[in-house]
Amino acid sequence: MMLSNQTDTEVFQSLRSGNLLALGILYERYGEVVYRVALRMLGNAQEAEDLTQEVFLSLLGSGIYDRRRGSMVVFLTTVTRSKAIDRHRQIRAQWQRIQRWFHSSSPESERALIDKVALKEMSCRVREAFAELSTTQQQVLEMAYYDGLSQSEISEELNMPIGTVKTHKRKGLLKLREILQDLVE
Amino acid sequence: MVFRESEEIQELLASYVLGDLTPEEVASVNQLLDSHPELQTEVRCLQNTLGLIPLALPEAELPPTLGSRILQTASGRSTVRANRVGTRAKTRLGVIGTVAASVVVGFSFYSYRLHQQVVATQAELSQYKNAIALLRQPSNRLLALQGTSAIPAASGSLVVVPNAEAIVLTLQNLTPLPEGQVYRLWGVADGEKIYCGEFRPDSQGRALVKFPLDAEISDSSAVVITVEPSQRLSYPTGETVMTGSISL
Repeated sequence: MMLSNQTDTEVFQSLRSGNLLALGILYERYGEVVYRVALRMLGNAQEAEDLTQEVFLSLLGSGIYDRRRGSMVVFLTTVTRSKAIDRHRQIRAQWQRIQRWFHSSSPESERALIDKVALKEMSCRVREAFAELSTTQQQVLEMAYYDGLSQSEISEELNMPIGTVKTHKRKGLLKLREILQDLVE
Repeated sequence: MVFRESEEIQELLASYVLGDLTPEEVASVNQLLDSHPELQTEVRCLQNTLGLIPLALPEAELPPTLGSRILQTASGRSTVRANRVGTRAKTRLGVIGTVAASVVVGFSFYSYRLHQQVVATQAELSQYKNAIALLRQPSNRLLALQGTSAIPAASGSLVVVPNAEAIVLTLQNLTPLPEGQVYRLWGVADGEKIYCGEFRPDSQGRALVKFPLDAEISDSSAVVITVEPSQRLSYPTGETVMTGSISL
């Protein structure tokens, strides 16, 4: 089968066996999303390009992607965010947990890949879902996700009790999880 | 901790995933996950949800050359690995590695562009797959090509594949040609130039072409590329813009 028609997992395996074409294919599929996150988090095109390059080159390293842990797009956005936050020297305990989660090896059942849904369609769904959150829920999630701010930093910035920040974040995430159920399960 | 409502557990797991719990709370959630492995699925769903949040961002336009640069860097790294294979064959492998890597990168660009054009034809892709298969043949010979003073930035590789009686040429940084002109590849044997094939680069100055390998050409010790009018002549008339000689 042609590499370009293969699943992310197959393409990734091909990359691990030294086929650089596979890297081109993954870039073609996800380069834009990685760049999108990098641009939002780092705020300038040059740094976003560097980071995008770093993320894709990191795929050449040791075996890191495990489809049982989630789809390639979630894996890549997670890695991108991790590296962007690293760059800002704002590593959070939360973040370390996410990384542990990706590196831990407890077995998970095989699941259908999210990659069968076209990325554009998926972006559209996530955008619509995000728009259904309250403005405050959107705001606190964005501050936490893209700016890597802690609860207390958000609390200070928005002049809002920590408990309320925490509630908005949690409710926002749970609502997204509910709306996007078929994509995340 | 005692949880009466599943909703309460959901909220706790959400805060766990968001990194909003105190170290004590994290410890008790970890215990909970150990004793109730089914909750790990929920944690994974929440992690996935978090990971999808950036898809809500507006789509960005990728810098046009970024993909090429990444592949180039990646191929450089592969070459470094190839160099470490052994000390005796080190230099030789290094040269082959570099040429092979640039050929592979050439193909990667080619593949990438094809997809950008929404996989215009399956035929083109299978042609490129065939080219990759050719590159894996054991008895291939490799030539590095360099631009003359006419186009100093031009570079590329030529692979002679005796098993398939083919030549694969991959070039970059060529000058695009006006209508009515083509690039022609010639083999040089005993001072004579033998026609191998002609091609035109894409708008970015790249070319990937496959030509048949004639017995005469396989005796060539060098190749040249010239700019020629598009009507076919059996000898070169135009300026030599690239040269390469068999060094391996």
